[in-house]
Amino acid sequence: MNTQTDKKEGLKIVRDFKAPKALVFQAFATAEAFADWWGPAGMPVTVTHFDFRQGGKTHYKMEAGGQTMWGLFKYGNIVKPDLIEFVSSFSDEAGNICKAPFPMDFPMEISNQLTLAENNGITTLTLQGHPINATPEQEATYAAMSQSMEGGFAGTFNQLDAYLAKIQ
Amino acid sequence: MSLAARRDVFQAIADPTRRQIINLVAHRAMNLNAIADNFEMSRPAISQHIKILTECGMIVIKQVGRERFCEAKLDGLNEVASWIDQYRQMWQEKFNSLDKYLTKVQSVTKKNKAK
Repeated sequence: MNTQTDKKEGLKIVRDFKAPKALVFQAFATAEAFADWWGPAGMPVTVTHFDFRQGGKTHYKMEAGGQTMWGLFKYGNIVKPDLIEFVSSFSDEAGNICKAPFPMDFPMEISNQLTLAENNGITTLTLQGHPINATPEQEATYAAMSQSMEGGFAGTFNQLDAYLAKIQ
Repeated sequence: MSLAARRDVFQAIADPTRRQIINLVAHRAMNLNAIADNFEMSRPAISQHIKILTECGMIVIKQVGRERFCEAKLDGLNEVASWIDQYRQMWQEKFNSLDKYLTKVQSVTKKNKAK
């Protein structure tokens, strides 16, 4: 199931893009670019506040089928064009953090670290996340998945992958 | 028991010893002694963890002759993966969209250069 460009390890996503690193970084760094690609397919994004710097916040609205959702980014360390750290969450219109619009138990906030590395014109993006202010259940899930990074749980989760592939 | 202990997949994997036990028996069914040999803990302590794992539905015990074997039952892990899967799926969609955006922007740049 795993490929070179799409690896799964706990809360880690690795993806290759056919573009220079500066351009990939720029897609996150300007309001215009961000609004262009961010947001689920067919769901227009309106960026109401954009402040791409350490301590800054980005607040955006997604609308589809009469449903409105708000999302929030709080930026941590930013090193152009290599690193972006941010805490992502769903929010209300006023920017208060709120529960994710998913049926399952989803953490209120996730701390994300996004790193970029370029090689022969291909940029490899690595995204690593961990829940913050999580419930014991969310922590347990995360701990179990993190084990897989050390190989301890890998066998089990390979089987889980196979199982999930089968039922989908 | 007035206060029923929680018995679900989250309870099962919350403890590192139990995670190790699941990992051991995920590859092949093992009896209690074989499992306990992998730990410095006492046999009754391991036995207690296995009891919890069976109550959580992560392990089933099968009697083979005079021996009892522990077998992993991994269906429950589907539940565990849920929010992490959702997180991955969300980002995979974003990255598909970012990929299209980058292709679009670069083709525009090339066209402009050609002019």
